[in-house]
Amino acid sequence: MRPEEKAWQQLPGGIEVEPAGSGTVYRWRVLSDSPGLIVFFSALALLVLALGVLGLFLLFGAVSDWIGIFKEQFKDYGDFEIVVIGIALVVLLVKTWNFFATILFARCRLALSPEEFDYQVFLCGRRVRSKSFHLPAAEVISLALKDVSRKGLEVQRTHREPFYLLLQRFSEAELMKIKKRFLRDLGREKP
Amino acid sequence: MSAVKFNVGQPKTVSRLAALYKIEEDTPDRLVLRSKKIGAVVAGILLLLFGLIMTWGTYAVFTKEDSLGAAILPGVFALLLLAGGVGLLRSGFRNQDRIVFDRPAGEVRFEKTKKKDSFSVPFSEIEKFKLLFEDRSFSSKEVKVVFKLLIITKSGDEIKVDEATKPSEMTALAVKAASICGVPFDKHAA
Repeated sequence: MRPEEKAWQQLPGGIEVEPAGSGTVYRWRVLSDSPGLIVFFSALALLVLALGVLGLFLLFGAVSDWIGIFKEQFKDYGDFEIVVIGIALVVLLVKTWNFFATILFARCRLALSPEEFDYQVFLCGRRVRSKSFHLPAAEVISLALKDVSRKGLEVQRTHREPFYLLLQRFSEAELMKIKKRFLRDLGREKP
Repeated sequence: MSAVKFNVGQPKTVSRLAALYKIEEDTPDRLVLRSKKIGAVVAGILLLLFGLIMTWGTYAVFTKEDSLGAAILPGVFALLLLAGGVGLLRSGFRNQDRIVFDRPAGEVRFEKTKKKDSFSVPFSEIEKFKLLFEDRSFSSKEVKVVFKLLIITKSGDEIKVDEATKPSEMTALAVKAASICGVPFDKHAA
């Protein structure tokens, strides 16, 4: 710690900081750098993907059985139970894929200055519009810790619904430091 | 006149959740809550058991079918269950989390197993204690309403103290904590 740096100004590991013009840019990954967690969630995602592909295969077999192509290979695949299992596996993949894609591949970028609040979420290099927000700093009322483990840090806005920064990997103690830093960059709190 | 009682619809299962902390010390100046280890340990043991059953099943498939392909999916699933079980058991046994409402120090300390995650909130920063209820019913046949006791700070943060399905348990805890901290308790749960 540099002598002039206070404890709360130290950001937790995993957040990259760089100055940009009159403000600061922060970058972080959604999932922690812990190899155990990455392996665990990657294996789980692969398992779900494999089950989803199996579901698609079962549905393809059912359709083939119904319309009479590859009849020998997909005999009895059109049975009700097989179709239900196939649909259930595909639904599991569709419902969970967004979660896995976000925690494994998403990158967040937050540019803060007394003029602007620019939060961007990128998935495999492409900006996710539904999770990204670019607004004047004056529109941000405050930042608050709400239901940290599920939602992260809440950004409260004037006359608009709040949204959340994807910071769930950090503990409450770390989020308190991050919040102070972000508020300082927005010109809200003096150190 | 006798009353007639109707049951409409299917019977519902009422799920209960015990408080996550138990009271370790309760004096007029200090209230210490210690995290219960039992939940994570039991969940870890169950996951480990399922993992072992799955491993045995995978081995049976592998030896009977003599096919590696058929054993890959159940094998990965078994490994995930075992890893999850070991992780839960480890975190359960090592759990040293405490919440200390300390009047002489004028703060609430959240002491975590990992020292770097510990933090404190001065009494002067606390606006109030609030009881919040959350419907966590998984299906229409289940009733699971959880009451969460939160510290609301003057800067708008909501810091969870504890949660349980029994509102009286959380209310009693909130009254004690609020009296030590000298701040109001908003008992009108939302």
